[in-house]
Amino acid sequence: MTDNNQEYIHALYKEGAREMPGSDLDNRILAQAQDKIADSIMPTPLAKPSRWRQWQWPVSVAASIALVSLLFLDNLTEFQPQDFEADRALIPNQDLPTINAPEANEQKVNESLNSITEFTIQSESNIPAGRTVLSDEGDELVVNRSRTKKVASPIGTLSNNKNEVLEAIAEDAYPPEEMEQIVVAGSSVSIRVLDEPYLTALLDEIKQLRLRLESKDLSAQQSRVAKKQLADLNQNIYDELHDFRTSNPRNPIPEKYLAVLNEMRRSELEELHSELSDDNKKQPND
Amino acid sequence: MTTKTDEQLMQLYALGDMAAFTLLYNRHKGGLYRYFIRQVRDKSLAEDLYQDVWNKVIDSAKTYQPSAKFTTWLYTLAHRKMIDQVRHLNVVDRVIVGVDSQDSAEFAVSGEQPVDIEQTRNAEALKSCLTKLPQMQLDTFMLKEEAGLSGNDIALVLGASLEATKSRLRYAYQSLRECISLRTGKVVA
Repeated sequence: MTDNNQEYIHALYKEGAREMPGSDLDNRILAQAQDKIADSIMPTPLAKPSRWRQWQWPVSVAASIALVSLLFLDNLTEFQPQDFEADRALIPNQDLPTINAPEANEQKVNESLNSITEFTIQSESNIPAGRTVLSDEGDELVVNRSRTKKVASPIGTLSNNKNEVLEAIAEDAYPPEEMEQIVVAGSSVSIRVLDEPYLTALLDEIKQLRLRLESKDLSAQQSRVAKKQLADLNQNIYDELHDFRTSNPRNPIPEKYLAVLNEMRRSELEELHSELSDDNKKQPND
Repeated sequence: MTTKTDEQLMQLYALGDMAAFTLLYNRHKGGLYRYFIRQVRDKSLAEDLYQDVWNKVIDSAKTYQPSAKFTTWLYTLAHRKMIDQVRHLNVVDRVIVGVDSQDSAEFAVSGEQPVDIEQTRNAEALKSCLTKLPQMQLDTFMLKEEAGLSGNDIALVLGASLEATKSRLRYAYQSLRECISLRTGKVVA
């Protein structure tokens, strides 16, 4: 496919692309926009965040520390020996009553608590799906494939504790059966899921096309075009699986999708699986 | 006002400037409209989806962040709307045999009519061929042609890799070329 062909198709498309919405539709939308102005006070999007928002993280951390401290002090009081026990202790070689210490785990300070901050997802954020922003303010995390959920992530530890990030995000964002591999790259996190509805639709189209071809009701020209369309659909399936495999070298691909591919394509995906899996093994976890 | 960027117009609208929204709407209404009608056979449904997207733009104006390109955002909304709806529809009618092209006469048409008859015939053939494209290729093609997005931005909107996006575009243009050649009986060079 040359650039000239693309330019030709582009020019041809522009020649015929003349459809426009009707005036009724235009007016409804413009009226909606006008009503929005009239009905609500629209604060400037560049307004400073509220005072609370600016101090949200430090206050959250301080509150967490205060809570933990209160728990610790509360339990410390329980176990503080009474004066009479202290007196006994001054007598050498005297057995003192033992006090059962609490289970260590129950009293263990949650060390990760200080570094966890929850992000609130704006499900219709204009930040495009697939891109995530994890700033110090920790405003938004947008997940690929239009899935947006509330997640938690350690601040400032993305590059050093990748597995902790993966586990924290996975546990909060997805149930285990839905969680796909999460790729952490610098300060960005994206989650790539297999687009099964799309693949199923492609499989349906392939099935119908094959039935048509087998029925022998097609002319030679129709048959040629149908075969070409079949090849295109296979290509689309391969593209999706290739994309998924690149992001998820360890996750299996359902056999029903692989079954429509030829041997060469299956081998390519298998090789990709091996290469990427080996790469993951070689690289130490951060 | 006409020299302002889309992002600036959105910000102005968020401050209550209706003229800014009108200009923004007029800039993008044609492309977005055709994005839907090319992919959704039902005109009424296409218009509903179209209106839904603009409603979302209107409702989100106050939270819009200019750091993200407006067009990418707009078509991300459009793409989500479309796939949510269209995947529930029967896709079998996209099989090529016996499927007629869309009747473009039912849609409002603007602009001057082309004088070149052959060009007109080829343009109509292209419209028909577009209905034969696999859904993802058509979606990718429309984002390229109507939204004017780069490969990277298209990949963002679709949630696909750049390689897959390029592949889909390549196959789309290739398929269209061959389809037009078949329909017109002339090889498209």
